[in-house]
Amino acid sequence: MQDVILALRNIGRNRRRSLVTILAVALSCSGLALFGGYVSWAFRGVEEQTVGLYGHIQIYKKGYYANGGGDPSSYALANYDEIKTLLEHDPFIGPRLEFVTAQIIFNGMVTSASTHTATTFFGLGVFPSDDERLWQWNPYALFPARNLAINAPLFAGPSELADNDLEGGSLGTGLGRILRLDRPSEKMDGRKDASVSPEPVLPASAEVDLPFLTEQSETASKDEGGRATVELVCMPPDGGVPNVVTLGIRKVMPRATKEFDDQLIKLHIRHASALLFPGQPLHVTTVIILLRKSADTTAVTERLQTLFGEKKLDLETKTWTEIRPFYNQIRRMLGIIFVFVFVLLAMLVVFTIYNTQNAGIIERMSELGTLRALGVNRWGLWKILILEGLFLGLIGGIGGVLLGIAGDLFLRALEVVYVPPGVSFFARVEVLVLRHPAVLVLAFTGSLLCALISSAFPARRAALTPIVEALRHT
Amino acid sequence: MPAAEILVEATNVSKEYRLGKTTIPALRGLSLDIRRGSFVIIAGPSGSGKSTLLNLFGCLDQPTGGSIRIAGQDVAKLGDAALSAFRARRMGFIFQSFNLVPVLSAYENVEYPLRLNRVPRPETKERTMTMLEAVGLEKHARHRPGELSGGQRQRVAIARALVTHPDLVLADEPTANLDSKTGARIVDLMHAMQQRSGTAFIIATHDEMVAARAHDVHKLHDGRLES
Repeated sequence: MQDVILALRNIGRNRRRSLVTILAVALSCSGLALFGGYVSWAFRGVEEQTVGLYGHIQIYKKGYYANGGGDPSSYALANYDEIKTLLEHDPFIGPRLEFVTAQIIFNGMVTSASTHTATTFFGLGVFPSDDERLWQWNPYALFPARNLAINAPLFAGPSELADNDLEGGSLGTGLGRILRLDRPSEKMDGRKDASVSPEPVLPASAEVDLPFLTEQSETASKDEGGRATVELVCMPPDGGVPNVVTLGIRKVMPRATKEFDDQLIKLHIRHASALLFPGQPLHVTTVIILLRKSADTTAVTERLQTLFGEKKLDLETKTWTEIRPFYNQIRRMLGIIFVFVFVLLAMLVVFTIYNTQNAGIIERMSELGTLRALGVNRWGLWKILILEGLFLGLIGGIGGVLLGIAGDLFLRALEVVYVPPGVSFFARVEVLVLRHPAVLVLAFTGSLLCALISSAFPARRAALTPIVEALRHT
Repeated sequence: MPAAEILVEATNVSKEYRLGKTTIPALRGLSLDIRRGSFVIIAGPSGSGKSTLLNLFGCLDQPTGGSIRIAGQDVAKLGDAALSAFRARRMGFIFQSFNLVPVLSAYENVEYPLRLNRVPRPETKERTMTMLEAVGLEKHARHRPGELSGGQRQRVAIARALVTHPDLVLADEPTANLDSKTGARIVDLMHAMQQRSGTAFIIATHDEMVAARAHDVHKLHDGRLES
């Protein structure tokens, strides 16, 4: 106890120096906590975004992932319901499931009879309510992009798809422009308006004119009691005459990348199946599993492989990190940056405390010699000096934790938004300090550890200084 | 002199300091016995080796040659921890510059050696207050060294040196930083405390007034005893 009192009082001796040191520790600790909170948010954000698109695990017919992109018909699964039931009733997988859904991914040609345009497209057939549920997967309670005022135009109006609207679908804004669906005079009547330039009219600066496009589809719907339509054309599995279905455009909205924006058509899975496999029951190319916890991904994947072996099912699996290595890449990149920042801040703390301790020890060398003369042994003296450093780290660390929490709350109040890579909407920047206290624990422990390291060397030197030499110090 | 009466037994002690390639002898084959309960003065001019001798007797330094036995213990054979414990139990120190811990009060400074010796708290309190009363500073117990005069600080140092009832108190120029009147009072106090406690005092000084109070005066010159 005497050592603790002595250490605390010694900290108060040179108040300005101690205050500067504590401030440096607090700022470094809070900086690390805030950056850790940001990295933690980025990890979770990318995870939510990726799983929201692909699910945790995808199941395909063997060979589809490597070769099936151009030939979905050969790799389509006709037994989706059977697979779904099998998964839901498995004693290991069942309790871990959030839900199971399916997709059809295919390519084809889209034409607009009204504008006499045609282009290739990339089709994604989904169960509308499952797709919505998947997109809204938010296990970490991150601020939903849908709730941001700046994203309102994007999410306003009708939904992309609806369960009861089998023939409805949505296009990317780029595809809408290519098909000239953004031109008022050509929208519905099937006749080309001579007053309109044959060149596509792009919004100013070629940027997405979202309200205009949305208005287009809404107006179209009102105009003819229906909506703008396009025709989707696909070659049947066995060749012959191409299959054609009509797609009513429910919504035109921007996609994350130019390629998707110019090519993606999202439609009801049953409509897609009817296009690819006319007159046949539902076929899917991908079964998607959403789990309750991402941490179960590996275990469930292993169980799936065992299950498929037991049931002699010719299926393969891919996890969300395999499908989108971007998550691991960004995790690695941010991890490296975090370590880099950690090392920089740790060095700042180490040198600041080292400097403070060193100066204090030199000033008090004679006093330390006196303590040794009175009977304090080397270890005892080392302990007193280490305690001083630890208290600097402790007070600074507590200050850093409080500053980190304040920074989290401040950033929430500030509502900083940006468009993250890979998506087309704004996201609110968050630092998960309060919701991910591990970053606070790490920053605080780091401060204490740095304090210990930086105090150890001056303390050791003081403890090893011969007593008579220490006493001679003035 | 009967062996039981001898507290400090220095035999052929020498101490050399190295300054670069030069070796400077501070003590040259000095032999000296100090009796228990004696009041001994080591006198001599500056650089004669007084402080060096006190440092060796106080186990703060090791001799280059010879041996020192204190209370029958060859101190050269003790490691740092044992030597520290030995100092804490058996020795008290009074320094020229008082060397009190500035962040501790007078009470806490006196109490500190008892804490090191793990004396129970009630006894610590009683002994500390007794010592402060003995040096006339009971009313200044809460004052920190910075709030005390030079004489008062040295009295706190005397109380701190004696509170553990040591065998030996070593005082290096205890009056050098005090005016003559205060210095005389301090010497009187040390003498009275020595009489009361039976503790041996070894005082290094060149102050004649201090020397006049001693049982034995040993004069040092160039690292050798003159008497």
